[in-house]
Amino acid sequence: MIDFIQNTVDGVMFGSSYALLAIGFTIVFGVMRRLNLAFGASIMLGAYMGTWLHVHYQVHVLVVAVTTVACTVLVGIYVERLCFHAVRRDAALASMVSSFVIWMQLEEAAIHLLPERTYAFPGLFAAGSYEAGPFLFRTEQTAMLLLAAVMVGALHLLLHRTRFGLALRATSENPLAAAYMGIHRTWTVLCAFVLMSLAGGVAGFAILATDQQITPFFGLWATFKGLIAMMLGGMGSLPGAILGGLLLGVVEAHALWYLGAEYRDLSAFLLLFAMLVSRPGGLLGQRILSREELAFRRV
Amino acid sequence: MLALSGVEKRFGALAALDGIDLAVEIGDVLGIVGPNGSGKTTLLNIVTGVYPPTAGRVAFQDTDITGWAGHRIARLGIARTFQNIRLFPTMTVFDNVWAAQHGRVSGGLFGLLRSRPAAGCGDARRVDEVLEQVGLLGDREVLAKHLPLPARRRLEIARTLAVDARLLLLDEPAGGMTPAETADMARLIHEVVAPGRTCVVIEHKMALIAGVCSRLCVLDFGRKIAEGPPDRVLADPRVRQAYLGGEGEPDA
Repeated sequence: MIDFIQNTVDGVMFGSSYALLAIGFTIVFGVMRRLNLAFGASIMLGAYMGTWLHVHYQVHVLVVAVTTVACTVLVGIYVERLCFHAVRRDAALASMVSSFVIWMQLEEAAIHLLPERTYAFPGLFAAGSYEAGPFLFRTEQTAMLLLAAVMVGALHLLLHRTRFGLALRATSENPLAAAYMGIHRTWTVLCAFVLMSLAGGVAGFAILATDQQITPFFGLWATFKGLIAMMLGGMGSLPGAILGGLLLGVVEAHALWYLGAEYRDLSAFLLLFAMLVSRPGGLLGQRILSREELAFRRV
Repeated sequence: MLALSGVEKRFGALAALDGIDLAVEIGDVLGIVGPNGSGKTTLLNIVTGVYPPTAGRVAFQDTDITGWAGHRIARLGIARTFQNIRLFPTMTVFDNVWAAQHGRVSGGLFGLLRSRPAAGCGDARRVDEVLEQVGLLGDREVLAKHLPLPARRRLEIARTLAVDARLLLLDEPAGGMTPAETADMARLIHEVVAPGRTCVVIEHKMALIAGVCSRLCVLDFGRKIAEGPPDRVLADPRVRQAYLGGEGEPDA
């Protein structure tokens, strides 16, 4: 029983960064109904720039953190301009495929920046832990949870308490009507990508600072985890992204403990498969709409 | 105020609009009527920048707006409603109207980060005022998707009122409504929307057109076949032929 609770707590802590990745995907999906497959790769490249500073100049970990987030945002803007802004609005598949192609380009860029496969990534703290009763908490995972909670809180305030958030939500609910109220779609989409990258950069730094190493595969890994967490929670739903991330973290933690490390990723895919079969819209996604609702939501 | 000259729109071989000249003066309540497929909504879509015309010019207050993007036209002061209602379904009635004010707000990043207006402050009062005018104040915290159809249409109108637009374009404001609901809508437009504003109303319910419009323009197969005061236009034999098929009453 203690093991079970311990695993669950660990899962929630690690799942908090899956939640941030899923939030990134879900914000852009909400605003433009597109998947940005290059998301993980942009985080990876941003983190590589931070690592590069660390490798060559031994900068402080906070500088690495700021560089990671800032460069993730820059790469995010680059991806938006190239794969989403430049591609015609009705060509949904084209922008998804081009974001996949850019993914390859970003990986190449990272390998040119730092040609060896694996680098040490600076941790936020010396790996430590503390005990509370029978349970053990890792310091860096606790920091991850706190960081994610602050991010989620800030995003919530931004989306629901500010005029900018209102414009973003309006565009995601009905792009055409939003445009005819003077809301600039291009600008709103760019802002959504900046938010996506912010959430991704913070999640990426928190995960890498826990793992304390980085490889070019981080891009693939982050895209998978974020996508799975978003699909579990329901596409386009912010609370769904949080729930999906935490659920994924908890299931992985249990699989890791009871079945072994090689079953961790397998369990994630099985969970996604079970969800897609039993509840295709995800936990908090839209259920099958009534005809009246369909007519109402038609864009 | 609004002037269309030689506006033409082709979709492939089909001429949806075929050389339309139209002028709307300040204070006009112009009704655009015509059978289904006669080009009414196409006309509105061209004025609001959904797509550009194939040929011809559109001018608003002496500015040539032909081919402008929708949000730029909106910021010039043209607001519209949609035949198939386009609200923000999971936002409250209040937020729907508040979002409509967005385009008016400048002030860059600082303006964007301003929070939801507290009850009683200027912005919120304006939103509440508009909601009261259309009779939705009691529903201000209701989600738009939970409103019945007539209330949804009234909310769309509230959004156009909130932006203090100089020109209002209403696309079938009584579409899908019962005769009693249509009469309510006619009263709303006549008493609240039209006074002191310039409007273009697309509708084919005579009950609404007759009570609201000061001038009518009749389209048929993308051409303007008549224009003038309602009673004269509706008595025109060509209009009766095109619009009524030469028999019976129009659907009321």
